Amino acid sequence: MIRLEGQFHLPRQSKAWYAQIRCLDDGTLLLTCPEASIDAGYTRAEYQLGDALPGLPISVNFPDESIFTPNKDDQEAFKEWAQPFRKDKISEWFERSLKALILTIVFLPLMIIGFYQWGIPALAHNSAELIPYTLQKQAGDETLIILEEAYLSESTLAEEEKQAIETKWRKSLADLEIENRDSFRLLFRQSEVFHKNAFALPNRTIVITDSLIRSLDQSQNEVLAILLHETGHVVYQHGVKKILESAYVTFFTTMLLGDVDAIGDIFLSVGAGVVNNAFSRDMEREADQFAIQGFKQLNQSPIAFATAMEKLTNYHNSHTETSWFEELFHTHPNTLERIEAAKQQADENPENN
Amino acid sequence: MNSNELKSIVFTGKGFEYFKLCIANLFLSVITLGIYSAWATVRNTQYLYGHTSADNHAFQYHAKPIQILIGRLIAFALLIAYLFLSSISPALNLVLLLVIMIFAPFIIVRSIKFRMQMTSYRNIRFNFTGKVGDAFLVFLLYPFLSVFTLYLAFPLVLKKQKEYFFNNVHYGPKAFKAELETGVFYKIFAICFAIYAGFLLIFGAIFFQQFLSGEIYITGGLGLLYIPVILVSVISAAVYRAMLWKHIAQNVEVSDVATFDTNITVSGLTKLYVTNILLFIFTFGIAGPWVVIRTQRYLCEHTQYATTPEIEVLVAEKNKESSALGDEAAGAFDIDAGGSFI
Repeated sequence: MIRLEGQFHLPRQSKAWYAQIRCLDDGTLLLTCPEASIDAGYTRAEYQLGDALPGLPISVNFPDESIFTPNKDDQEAFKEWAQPFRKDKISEWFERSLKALILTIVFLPLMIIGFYQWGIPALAHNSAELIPYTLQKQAGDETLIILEEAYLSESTLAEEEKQAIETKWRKSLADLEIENRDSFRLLFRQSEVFHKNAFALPNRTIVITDSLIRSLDQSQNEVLAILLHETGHVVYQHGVKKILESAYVTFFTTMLLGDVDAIGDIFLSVGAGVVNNAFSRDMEREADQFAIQGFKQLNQSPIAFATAMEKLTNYHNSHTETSWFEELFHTHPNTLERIEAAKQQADENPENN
Repeated sequence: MNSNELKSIVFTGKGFEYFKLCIANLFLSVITLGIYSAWATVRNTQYLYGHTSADNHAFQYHAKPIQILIGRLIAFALLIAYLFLSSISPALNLVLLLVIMIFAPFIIVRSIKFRMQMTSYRNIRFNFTGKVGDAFLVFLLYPFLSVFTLYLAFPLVLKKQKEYFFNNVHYGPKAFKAELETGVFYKIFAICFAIYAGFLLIFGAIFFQQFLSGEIYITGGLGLLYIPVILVSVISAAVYRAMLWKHIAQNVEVSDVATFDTNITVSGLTKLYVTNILLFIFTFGIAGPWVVIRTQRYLCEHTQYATTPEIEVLVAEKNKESSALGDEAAGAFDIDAGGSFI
């Protein structure tokens, strides 16, 4: 049994009375506060122990909302006595122990990196499946309306050329047995803003600009390479996943770090941007692989992808490596890397033309 | 008011201790996929409150982690719903933003109320009785209208916001009372504006002169611009906070119970901010907990209070319960409630 001295407050009253508590081994507390005329006993089930924070006393909360706080000298003894009855022991061990600190410092960065690198994409991948296509289609449709209105104009390519491109693309979709390929659409457009570009929307629509087509050699499958890359984006539902990944990053970061001040906010935004770019680069690589592997399955050489990339970027970009620091801020992987990936796959199958 | 002498608020928190607390909580939050974060938030706050004391009585934080967790999960569900609905169509996005704006005053009031009711001193809980209608005026309508005055009315709007907050806080049965002067707010803004303007003039002059002379020393792109900009922002923030805190501390009282004062200085606060930022940057954020402790310690040690004997005999009514959803929704949708004393 131990004896404590401390402050006692009646419910919702500021007056601090001197009080004593005798703590019995079975958890019963005997409270005496002579000036408030209190002499009562409480069994273990009748009171609640406050949380144990480093350097702070554990308080005793009684059922009528009165509260007892032990004096400084008695706090350690009370903590010891309360050991068998406290519920936050695990938390407290983690907060106090040196072993836990070392464990945390070693594993925490690994866990966080692992979670952001694999956990979130996996989570996004699985929850993307749960989003019904009708919602994705609507998002894509609405986006397309805006793009058509503001940035896209009619294509000036010859009908035969468009037909040839689309036919070749649809045939490859059929040969690759792409699901839902009948709802895929290909739109030829011109754009002052987008110049040479192609993109895919969640409503299974791929848009490709005239200037992009004109800078590539259609007969060498270069246009098909781009279209397959975009098809990859559609097949893997990258549009939806991007939104989900962004939402999860925001949510978990907020959950973990709670409220941050202005400076922290700036760092977090930059950090979030870096993380989102990493996801974006991964998705670009996935789409690249879809095109490259697609070619192999169709018994065509993936070299078409490499030559297409080379034609689309200037000499500088396709022949230099970017530093890891610069790459943090890019949404696409380094071009040289993408070309090399395609060339490597092409070399593995020398019988292709 | 017949008060005792002025004393400083005492803060006994320690950097390394808090760091261990924070990192342990972060670790546990990560392995539980964020579920433990509710407990983590409560414990971190309990630590900071518990180590803040006046007259040997510490503040206490009473929120229950389960409340916070439920609030967070609901807020998360709302966030996901919003992100999806808004990406479906831009029109829907606008509608949703409007809905959020309309609900914002409600969320702000609930958030402040929750935080206040979960805080106690000498076993007496705080409370907040601000009306949602007034919150709407002060946080939505007035700021919106101030745009039409080219933001010249903004200091007045800020004064109204601070008044709204302090005049609706209660300490048990005793109400806070704030008598703020609009003139002081204008002075604060004028000085901060002058700092920024001065910076732009000087920097612009240097840049222009170098541009004319043909030699540009400021290479490395606009990235280098960050450093002087951050420095000026920090100084400006210190001026703003110090002057504002001084005015508030000296013009807010708890009826019949307490008055306040502060000997915070602009130079002191600037030094604190600058050292905090350097500490934070050069440790890649690991020094975060130390930054929090240093700031809390500085603010406490430079804030004084004087209480009357009546503080020792207060009796409070029971507060009407409020849920944590308001607070968590405010966090999720980034609605700055400004519901803290500083």
